[in-house]
Amino acid sequence: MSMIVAEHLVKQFHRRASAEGPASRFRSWFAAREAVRAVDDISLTVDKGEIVGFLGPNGAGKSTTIKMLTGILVPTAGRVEVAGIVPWRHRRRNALNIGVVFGQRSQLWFDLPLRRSLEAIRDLYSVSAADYRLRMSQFDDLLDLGSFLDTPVRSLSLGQRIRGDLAAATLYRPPVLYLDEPTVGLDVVAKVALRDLITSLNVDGQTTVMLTTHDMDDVEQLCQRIMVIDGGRMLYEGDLNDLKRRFAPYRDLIVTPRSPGDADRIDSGLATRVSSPGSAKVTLRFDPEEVSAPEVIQSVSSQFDVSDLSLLDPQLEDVVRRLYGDSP
Amino acid sequence: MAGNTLTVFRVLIRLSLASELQYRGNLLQSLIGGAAAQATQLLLIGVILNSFGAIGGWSASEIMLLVGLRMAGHAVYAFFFRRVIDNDRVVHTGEFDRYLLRPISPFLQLLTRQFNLQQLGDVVIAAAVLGTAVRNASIDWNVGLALFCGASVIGGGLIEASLQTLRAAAAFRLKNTDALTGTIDSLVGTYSNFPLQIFGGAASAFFTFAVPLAFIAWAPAAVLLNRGADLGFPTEIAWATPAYGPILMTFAVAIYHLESRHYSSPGS
Repeated sequence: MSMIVAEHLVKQFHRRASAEGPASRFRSWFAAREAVRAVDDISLTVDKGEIVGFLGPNGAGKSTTIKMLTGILVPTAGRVEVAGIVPWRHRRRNALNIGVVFGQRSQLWFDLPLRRSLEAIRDLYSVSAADYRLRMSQFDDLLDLGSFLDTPVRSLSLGQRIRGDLAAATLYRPPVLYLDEPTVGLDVVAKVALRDLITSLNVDGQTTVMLTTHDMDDVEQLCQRIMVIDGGRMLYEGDLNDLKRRFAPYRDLIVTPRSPGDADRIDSGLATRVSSPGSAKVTLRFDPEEVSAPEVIQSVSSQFDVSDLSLLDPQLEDVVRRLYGDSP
Repeated sequence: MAGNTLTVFRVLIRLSLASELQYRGNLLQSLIGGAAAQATQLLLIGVILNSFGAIGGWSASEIMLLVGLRMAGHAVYAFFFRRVIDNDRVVHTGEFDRYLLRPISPFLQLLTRQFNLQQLGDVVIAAAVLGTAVRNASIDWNVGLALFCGASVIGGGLIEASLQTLRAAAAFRLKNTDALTGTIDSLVGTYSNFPLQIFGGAASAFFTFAVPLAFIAWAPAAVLLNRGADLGFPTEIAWATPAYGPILMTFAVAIYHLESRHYSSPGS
């Protein structure tokens, strides 16, 4: 069942062209307005219970797309439905179905203690007292919320504030969760806590999650499927491993010879040596479609005395970088 | 489902009051500032009356009633609707994103983004002036007139609120409408304090039918004082004063919500 459907989505903004030279400020007043397409014909579908990674470089159109899906922006053209509702047309009904966390901007009441914000959300979304108690105790377990519940939001650290925002966005258990850069600037402990909560919501509550991030660890650990956009257009949509196969069709075998003198001689004949001469470790790159890892390992270890072997899959970050590089 | 309207309103008011009370020093300064601004206007009219004895044929006590109605109407606007002037900032900073993500009217969230406790200064001064004016003016009070007077105060507040709401709606496209806010403030502050016939036929027609400031104080005061002849239009139109505010406000809020579709959200 599709939870999020967007077809041929377009968002166009009009900006006045900036003038240069003498009296540029004055002349730019009268300059013609130019149309800028932040999102240009994007179609996507997210099924119920999926966690999808939504990736792209800065200015790719990620936030604009998310804002159209959440109902903040009205599309210039195209169709969008979330849980069967057109978000911008039936904004209030849509708001009951979605939770949103923007890493850069809080949805909480800035001057009040976090507890007051969560109580307000409880009342505004008609969460029962029993559910509220249960969920607050879950938040305390997973996010250690209890330690800063009575601190005004303006005094929270970034990590605490994001955890507070995530609690506020999920307190009423919306079936759809949008997370826009939720781990930006967080330390490792806070990132793990956040990922644990997202996983638990997804597994226990079948929450559909759309995650925008630059953190490839987030994507590798959470997402079953990814979408990559650039220049407002969809570059790739599909399985994470397929992406790696298409744009980085190799694996690396890292070999540490027992005798350092062997390092410059190691070669299996089945793989290409990519490490530079003189290094103590040797990197052999091979195409897993043509030769299997055990075959390469067998070939190396039969010729040389090896003290350590390890296999390395391509890093998603490199894959995505290559994908951006290929885009027009 | 989202809580019912009353619950939503209660929650929003509680939050805005709690936020406001975080800054008690600022609150005290604003209270004094609000009262001082109103007192200054009163002083100005006092000086004019002292020099001329009457304005447009209206005696000092009649002018006092007109000013009392205008101040009370302004207090209704200031206490309940003043936050519409924040729409520029709300749009500019992206705070409006948050309003659109909650299952509540964005306009209601704008109005309750801060509790207008400091406007109590306006309310106290307005109540004192109107209270004194209705005692001093020669009016044959009956229940109908008293209800008309109360409803006109609310209607007057709604007329001022509707003008500022329409201005706020323009912020979704224009982004900066500060100058317009000041213009409306000074238009209402200047022209509503006087019997409009003194500005001539064209100006009084403009402020009756184009920008209906006439119905903030002049028209209801004329009805109460039995001075309908000064209006230059049928008194029946003046008797309908309490209806114009709600009608204009409903229209303005609809325009606000319609224009909010042009919100472009910073960072998009």
